[in-house]
Amino acid sequence: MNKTSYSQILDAVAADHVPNDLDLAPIIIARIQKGKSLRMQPQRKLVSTILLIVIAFVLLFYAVPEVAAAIQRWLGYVPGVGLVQEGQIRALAEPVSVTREGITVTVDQVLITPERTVLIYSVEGIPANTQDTPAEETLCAMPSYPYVVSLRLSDRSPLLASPMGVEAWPTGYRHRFKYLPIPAEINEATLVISCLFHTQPGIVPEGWELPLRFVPAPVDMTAFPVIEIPTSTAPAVMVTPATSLTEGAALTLSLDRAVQMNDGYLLYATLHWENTPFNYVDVIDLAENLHLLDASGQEMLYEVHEDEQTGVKEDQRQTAFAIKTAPVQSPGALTLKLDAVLVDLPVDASFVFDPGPSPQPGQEWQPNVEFTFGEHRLFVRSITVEGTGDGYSIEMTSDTGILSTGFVDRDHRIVSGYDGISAKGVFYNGFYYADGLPKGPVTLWVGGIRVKQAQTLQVQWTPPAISTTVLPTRPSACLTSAAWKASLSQPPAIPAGLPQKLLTWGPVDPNNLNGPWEAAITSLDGSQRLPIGAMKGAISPDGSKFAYAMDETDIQIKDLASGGVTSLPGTTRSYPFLFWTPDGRSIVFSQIGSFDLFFVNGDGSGLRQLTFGGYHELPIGWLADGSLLYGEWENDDQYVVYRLDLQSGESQEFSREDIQTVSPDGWHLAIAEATSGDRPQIVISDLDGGNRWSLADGNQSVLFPLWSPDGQWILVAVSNTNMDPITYTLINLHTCEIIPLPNLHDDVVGWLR
Amino acid sequence: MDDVQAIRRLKNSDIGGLEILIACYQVKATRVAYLVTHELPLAEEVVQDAFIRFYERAHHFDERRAFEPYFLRMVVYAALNAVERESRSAISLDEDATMRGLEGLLSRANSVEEQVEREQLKHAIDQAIGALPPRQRAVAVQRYYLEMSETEMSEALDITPGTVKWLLHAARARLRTLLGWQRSEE
Repeated sequence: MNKTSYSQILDAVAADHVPNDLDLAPIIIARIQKGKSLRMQPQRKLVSTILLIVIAFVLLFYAVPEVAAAIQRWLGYVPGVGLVQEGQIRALAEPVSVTREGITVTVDQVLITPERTVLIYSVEGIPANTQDTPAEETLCAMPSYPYVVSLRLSDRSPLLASPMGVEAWPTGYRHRFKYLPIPAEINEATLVISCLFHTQPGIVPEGWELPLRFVPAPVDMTAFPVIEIPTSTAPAVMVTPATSLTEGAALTLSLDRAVQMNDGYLLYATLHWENTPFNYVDVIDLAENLHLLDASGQEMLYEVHEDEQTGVKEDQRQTAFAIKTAPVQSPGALTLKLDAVLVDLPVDASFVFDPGPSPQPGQEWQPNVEFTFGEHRLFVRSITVEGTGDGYSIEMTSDTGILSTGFVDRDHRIVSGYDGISAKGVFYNGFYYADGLPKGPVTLWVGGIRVKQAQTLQVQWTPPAISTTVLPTRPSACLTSAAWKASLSQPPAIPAGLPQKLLTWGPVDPNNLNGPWEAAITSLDGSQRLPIGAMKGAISPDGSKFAYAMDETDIQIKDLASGGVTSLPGTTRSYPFLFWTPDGRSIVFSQIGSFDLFFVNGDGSGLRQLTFGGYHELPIGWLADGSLLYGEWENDDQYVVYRLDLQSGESQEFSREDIQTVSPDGWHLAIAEATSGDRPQIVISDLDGGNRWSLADGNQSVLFPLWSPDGQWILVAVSNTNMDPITYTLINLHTCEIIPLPNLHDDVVGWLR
Repeated sequence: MDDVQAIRRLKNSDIGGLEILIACYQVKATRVAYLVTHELPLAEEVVQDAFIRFYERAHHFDERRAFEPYFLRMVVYAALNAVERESRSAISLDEDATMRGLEGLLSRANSVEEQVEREQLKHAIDQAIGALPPRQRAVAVQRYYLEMSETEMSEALDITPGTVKWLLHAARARLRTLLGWQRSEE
């Protein structure tokens, strides 16, 4: 290879287009003198086709009886299913698909535990226009077009579902359902779907039936261990100044159990209000009011978790909530600290309202009634007859922090009601009479006011040991020539339990690499590809938000469900290499011209500089203790990886190796190993450098590692030689199973949970 | 006048310093930008913008550093950003160009003596580079035109050294893949 000649040749190639007498000076000087740097090109509008619509998970629990958590013994926590009790667990023998008129319905997962059956099915290929209708009430799932998803057992008895959550996108959706447990002696069933969710009647096939077969759950099924926390070791402390309304309240907090996961703990806690006079207690604004501290008092990252065990249990006068912590590295106690809670303070007050002899729909009165409850004041601003003429709507305000309340008529039969908040300090409620508006004056009562109550509650728990996912030490590589050839000739199926969605970056037209490129959510097998934007960016760990950067604008965060875009002020001229924090709340980035790292929250707050005086710093990954690994060039020729403590701002040299990525639990590294030949390799190592092994035996090129969200698999680009096309390939770090993904052509940027 | 003197004039708000830098580096910079963007108008705008950006920030420039590599890296990066967000018309691949990888073409071009064949090879190289995805194109330009080391390239593109290797590797593989597609369409 003659590099000088190559340069000369390329110069000659370019010279055919760029002549030596080029003169850009006049236009540059003119632009400067005009006092503005014209935009290089108009910003291209982001692709705004229908994007991933993630409908918030709605947990409805009306069909399956639950046993009180207090007496349950948990076998483990199964991702996607939740806490499961001891007993035999069965699973779907294999995914089942049925395709009709180009639409494929697939049952992805079924798990049968002694207390319930959980089923997940997905649909792909729904024509977009089947959901376009001005009359939403005609869509499947509306009363006129029932959406029934039942399990018909082999003895012909049906099980009806409780919907747990739906995730939808323009051409399909995935829906989770909960059923009663299928009896142990029944190992076959048929999933019967009346119509496809939110489609119009008669447009797409109806009456779907998919035969299912169940087998004992595989022994390697992921089930994280549950640590029950005795009450005596989790003392709750309440430090609250009593007020006239909270006097005697004995609100306490307990930590009930911890699920040890690969990348932290799932902590279940309970607010106890059994011995309080409150009508109701709930957590409020956890991001603001709940703090998780490590043994050194440093605030740790967490995300709120919701499942069947969480929520307000009014019959028990308890409120359960859960958080998923960031990886815990520092030994010692974790502290959960609540600064405030939402309480419904009991009050009992009324006023008489006289609407006159003939109230009309829409008629409004300003009663100017004021109540004082201890330190709180409530004003009744207006009362309006509902448009239907059979109820009242009442608007109230408070200047002392009442968040909401509601009036009702206790002397007449009420059929339904509602409440809401229209602005800070302005709220309303309404109700409807069973027998129309009563004649003459009515007495309206209020029984409670909801306020945010400053309430310091804290609880501590010491994890039994430092959490770590022990990866097997492999004396020899997984990816040998023989194993690679065998997997190519007979590619194994992609495990159904593996998160299936990737963030990719590739050409809009795969046959035209020179055309525009786009970011997309792409399935592991490459069969589904949903474009989400024309800019390369980063997706939040939960897949709900897409962050991207453009030269002259601030970092933009697109909510993939709503399509709404949030601009983060002060982040202009960011490099497009954005890096989400594990909790998906914040972003680390570097700015052109500065080269240092910056931190900003997803709502634009908390912008701060993390490093100073660096040069071309690049985030790599998050370690178990929440610190950040980043690489930097020193003296233009030495690549150094640093470990940054975000709390103290201190950086320490960590390594001089080319660390490519960090495992989700923050305990393992994937390192590009310098090789003398043309076949670069990836080695896996513990943080401390131990347990080091190479993924391949050196006969293939292996690069671009990306850990699966559960940390059990790694996705790499594999090829035989430099001149062969790359094949993205999954490697199981425990079993060495190799799964080539030959239909995945785009560059893989991220892996969604 | 050398670069340092020109930059000092610039730091003293003397726009003449910028004119000197433009005169010295506009052709090389535009060729770099062209090889990345494969569109001359876009390449010229990239270079204009890069000079203006440097003008605006000249007072931050560390005079101990060499201007040319610094500026050309900036141009590569800006060109890459520009081309990644612009629609471009498809460029059909010359059959000969797709028959070899870029390195093979360069190697052949280095050895041929006959003018006609050299011109054909130049055209083939031009088309082959244009057929690469933008990021791989930028890496190829840095590696073979600017003769940057892999560490310099990773620094300039803000990617780890391993990723540079991958991009180079992918660039070669893409050329091979393109060859397959082209043949299958015939």
